[in-house]
Amino acid sequence: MIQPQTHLNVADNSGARKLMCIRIIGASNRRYAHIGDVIVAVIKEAIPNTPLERSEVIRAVIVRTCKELKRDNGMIIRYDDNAAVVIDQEGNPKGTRIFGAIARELRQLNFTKIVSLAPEVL
Amino acid sequence: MALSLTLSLAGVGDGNRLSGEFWQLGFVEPSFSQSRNKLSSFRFSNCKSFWRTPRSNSSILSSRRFSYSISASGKEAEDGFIQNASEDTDEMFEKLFDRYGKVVFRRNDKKPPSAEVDDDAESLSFAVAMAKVASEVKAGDIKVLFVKPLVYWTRFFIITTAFSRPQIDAIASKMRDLAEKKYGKAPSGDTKPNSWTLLDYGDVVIHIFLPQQRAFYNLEEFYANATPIELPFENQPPPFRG
Repeated sequence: MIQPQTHLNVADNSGARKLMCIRIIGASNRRYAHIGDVIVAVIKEAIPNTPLERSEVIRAVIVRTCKELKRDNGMIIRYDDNAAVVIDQEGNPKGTRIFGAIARELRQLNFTKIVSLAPEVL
Repeated sequence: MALSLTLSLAGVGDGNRLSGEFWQLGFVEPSFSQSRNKLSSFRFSNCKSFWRTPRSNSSILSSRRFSYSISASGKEAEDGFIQNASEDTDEMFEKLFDRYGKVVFRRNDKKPPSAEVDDDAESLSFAVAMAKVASEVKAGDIKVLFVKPLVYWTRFFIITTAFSRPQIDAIASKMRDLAEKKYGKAPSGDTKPNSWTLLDYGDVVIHIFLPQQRAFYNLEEFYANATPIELPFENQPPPFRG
């Protein structure tokens, strides 16, 4: 359940560390974003000397949420943090590697690039 | 069970001797049924390994000793432990399972190994056909990787370089045409030419990069443990571009 003003961790090596969601892309008045949704976010904290800087506005895909993700087979996945991966306008990830486990739902949502860079897919 | 727990608590220092003692204790008590004995010694071994985490193999020792002989002296048991540690643990678990385990639940959707091999061969032929299409359109440095042992979600990766966006478009559209005509498959993934264009055919995932992006993402290194597949045609090395 990501909404504007939610702070998220960054799950890649793009150089950003913390994001704040400012808009959910998809519908005009959408309240919450879940795993696999694209958000517009602002970088709140970044690693020095990297291409991304603080207060830059970027797009990101949510890859982990504290709110549980339900599957049709009854499986429920809940992570410890809210995390996102920074992408560009074309949908390519800005970082080259993803950290932590991600859900396979991302592949169905056409984020196979993120899935293929991830070390573990649940 | 409470008894075994307290024992293991008391004997953190000397686990080997203790396990033997406990065994004898369980053995001489006639009221214990056979299955009860097994269970308790199992649980006990678990407890012990919990208390003595650095020697995670100590549970092997106690279960081994349980299965073979109780009267093994400490020295012998120690030797056995060293031997056991080098053995494959899978084998050990299989043995234990054969002896004490039973199947409670089995997934129905699991395929037999022969069907898996068939599927692999089918995907391989599809992947090689796709790689051939790429080489016909002069894509450089084509690599087909068998990634099934590393990731569960696909079988083959095709990684290739194109040198311009029109070329990426040409490769992708040719692959789409062939896959639809010959194999009846439609890809998900990118529809427009992109600096990293991905075509996802389920069992085969095709990555078409521009040279810069290929070096940036370096997918081959990430999947370095995957088995590369030999291609039947001449693979053009990437031409030198100054």
